[in-house]
Amino acid sequence: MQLNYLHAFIQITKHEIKIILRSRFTWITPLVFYIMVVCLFPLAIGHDQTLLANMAPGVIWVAALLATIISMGHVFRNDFDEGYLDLLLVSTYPLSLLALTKITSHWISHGLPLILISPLLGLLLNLNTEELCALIFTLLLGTPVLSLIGAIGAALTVTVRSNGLLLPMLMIPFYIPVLIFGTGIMIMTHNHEPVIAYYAMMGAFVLLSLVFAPLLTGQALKIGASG
Amino acid sequence: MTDQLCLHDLSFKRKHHVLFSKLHHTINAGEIIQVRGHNGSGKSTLLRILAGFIEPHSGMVTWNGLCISKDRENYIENMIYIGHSNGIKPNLTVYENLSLTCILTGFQSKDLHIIIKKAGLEAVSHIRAQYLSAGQLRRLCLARLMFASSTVWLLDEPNTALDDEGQGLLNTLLRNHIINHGIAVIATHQALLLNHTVKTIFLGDHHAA
Amino acid sequence: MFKKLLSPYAFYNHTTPLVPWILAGFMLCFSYGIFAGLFIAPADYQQGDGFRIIYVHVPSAFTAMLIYFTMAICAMITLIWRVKITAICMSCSAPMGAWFTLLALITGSIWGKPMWGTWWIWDARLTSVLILLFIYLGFIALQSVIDDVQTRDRATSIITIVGIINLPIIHYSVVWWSTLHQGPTISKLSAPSIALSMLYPLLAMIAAFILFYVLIVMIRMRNQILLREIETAWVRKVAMTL
Repeated sequence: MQLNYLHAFIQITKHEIKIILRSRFTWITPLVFYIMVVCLFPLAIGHDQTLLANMAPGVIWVAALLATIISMGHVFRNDFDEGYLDLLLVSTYPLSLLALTKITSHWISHGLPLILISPLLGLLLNLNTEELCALIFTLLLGTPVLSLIGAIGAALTVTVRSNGLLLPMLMIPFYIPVLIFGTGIMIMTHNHEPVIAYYAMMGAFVLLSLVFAPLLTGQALKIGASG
Repeated sequence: MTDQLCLHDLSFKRKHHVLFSKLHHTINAGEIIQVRGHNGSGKSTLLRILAGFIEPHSGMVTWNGLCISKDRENYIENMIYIGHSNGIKPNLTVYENLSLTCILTGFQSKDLHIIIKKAGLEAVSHIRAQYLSAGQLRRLCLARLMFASSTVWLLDEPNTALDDEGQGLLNTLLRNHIINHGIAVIATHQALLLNHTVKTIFLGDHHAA
Repeated sequence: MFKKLLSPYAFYNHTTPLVPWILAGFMLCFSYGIFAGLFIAPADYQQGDGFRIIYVHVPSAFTAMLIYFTMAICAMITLIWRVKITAICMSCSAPMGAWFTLLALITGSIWGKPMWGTWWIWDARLTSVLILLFIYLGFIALQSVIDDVQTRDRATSIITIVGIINLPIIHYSVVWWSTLHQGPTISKLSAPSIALSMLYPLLAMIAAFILFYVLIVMIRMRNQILLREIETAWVRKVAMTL
C-alpha cells in the first residue's frame, strides 16, 4: 500500500480544524483571554503613553505565550477522553506526522487569530507602524514555536488530571528563548537597530522545533497513553 | 502461512495488585476468543496489551512469530482495535467521522456510503455524532470493521448499547470474519450468540469462574 | 551481560561497599576545602573576605548543572535501552539538582549584596540558573503527578531531553538579552588570574560537592530500589538481615 503522507497530512489537518472551529468555545476563549490580559496592563500601570509603548512588546508577548500554553492543554486531552488517541496510535501513519497535524491545526486555529488581533492591541498600547510590523513578524515566527514546544508537554500530561497549571509550569521555561528574541527584536526595531540576524535566529528556532517537537510529541503520546 | 497471535506468559500488575500472570495462549486464524471476567479483572487491559498500547510487565505478544512491539508497523496494518470509548469526534458528522478514520487507517475507500448503509446509519449520515444515541455511536464504531481488511480484531465490549438489529450486524460481521480466517478477541460478559465454537479466557478470580 | 550488571539488584549489591568510601572522600575534600577556603586563602584585594562565598556558590552552581547533564544522559539511556536503574538515578537526582540550584541562587544573591548593593540583579548567569531551577521544578511536578512507574520514567525522560536541547539555547538567549537591556556587565568570574592558594580550595570544594551528590543520590537510589522491588525475594532477604 502506497501511503501518501502529504495527502493524509492535509486531509487530517482539515478535519482537525473543522473539529476545533465547530466548538467555538475552544478557540475563542484563548483569544479573549489574550485580549483581556493585554488590557489589564494599562489599568495596572496607568495610561502614560510612552511607558505603555515601552512595555507593549513584553506585555503582548507574555499574553500570547500564556494564551498559547493554556490552550495547549486541550489539544490531546479531548482525544484521550474520546478514545480518539487510540485511533491515532494504531494509525498506519507515523505518530510524529499525526502530532504535526495536531500542532498545525492548533496553530491555525489559535496562533493565527492571535496574530490577526495583535495589531489592534498594539494600537491600544501606542505602538507605531514600524513596531506593529515587527510585532506581526515576530509573532508569525514565534507562535509556531510556542505550539510546537507546547505540544510535547501537552502530550506528556495527557492522562494527568491536574488543575491545568501543570502544563504552563512544565513548559514556560522552554518558551523563554522565543520570548527573549520576540521582544528583543521589537525593542531593537524601536531603537532603529538592524534586526535581520535576529529574525534569522527565530527562523532557526522554528526549524529546530519543527525537527524535534513532532518526534518528541509522538513519543510522548505513546508514553502518555500507556499510563 | 496461516496467521497466528500468541500470548507468551503475559503478566500484568496494577500498583502491587496482580491482574493476571502467566497467561499463555495461541490464537490461530479463524478463531474467536472471548475474554471473560468480573469488572476490574483486567479485560480491557489485556486487550490494550494485545493492541500494543501498554507493555506487559513480563512476557510478550507475538504476531506470526514476531514480537508486536518490534514488528509494530506490520502488526498495526493487520489489526483493528475498538475500545471502550468510541474514538468518535462529537463535532463531526457520521460521514466525516468515518472518512477521518478511513484516512487514519490508510484506506482510500470510496464506498463509505455503502458502509454507512450497511451499518444502518444512512438516515443520520449527515448528523453530527454528538446528537447520536449510544447505540448509533457503537454502530459507527463497528462500521470501521467493514472497511478494514484487518486480520486481528480486538473488540472491547462491542455489544454494549446495541439493539437486536445491531447485535445481528455484529454477529454477521464476526461470522464473515471467521470465514475469511480472521482472528477476533472480544472482551465481554455476555454470551456471544454465534454458531461457532468460542474459546474463552477467564481473568481474575479463578475460583469464581 | 550489561543488562544484568545494570539490574537494580546488582546495583544495590555493588554499591553497598562503596558508600563508606565515598563518604570518606567527601569528608576529606570538604574539610580541606572549608578550612583552606576560610583560613588559608588570602582575602580578595577588592572584595575582602566577602569573596569567600565563592567556595559555596561556584561548587553548587557547577554541581547543579552537572546533575542536569547526568539526568539527560540517564534519560537517553532510559528511553533507548529501557534500563531501570538510570530512570531511578534520574528521578533521585532531580530534587538534589533543584536544591543545589537554589543554593547557588541564594549564595549568588548574598554575594551580590556587597558587590552590587542589591540582593538580586538580572545578571545573565544568575538568570540562567533561575531558569534551570524552573526546569527542575517542572520535572519534579511532572514526576509527582504520574502514578504509573513506567509511564513516569519515560515521560520525565522526554522532558529532560527537551530540557537539555533547550538549555544551551536558553543560556545563549539570556546572555544576548542581558547585553540588549543593560549593556555588558562585569562577570563575577572574569578575574584575570586566580591565585593558586584560592584555586585549590575551590577545586576541593567542587570535588566535595560532587562526592556529596554521588553519596546522597546513591543512598536515595538504594532506597528507591528497595521500594520498587518490594515484592521480590531479594528485597525480603535484605529486610530480614536489617
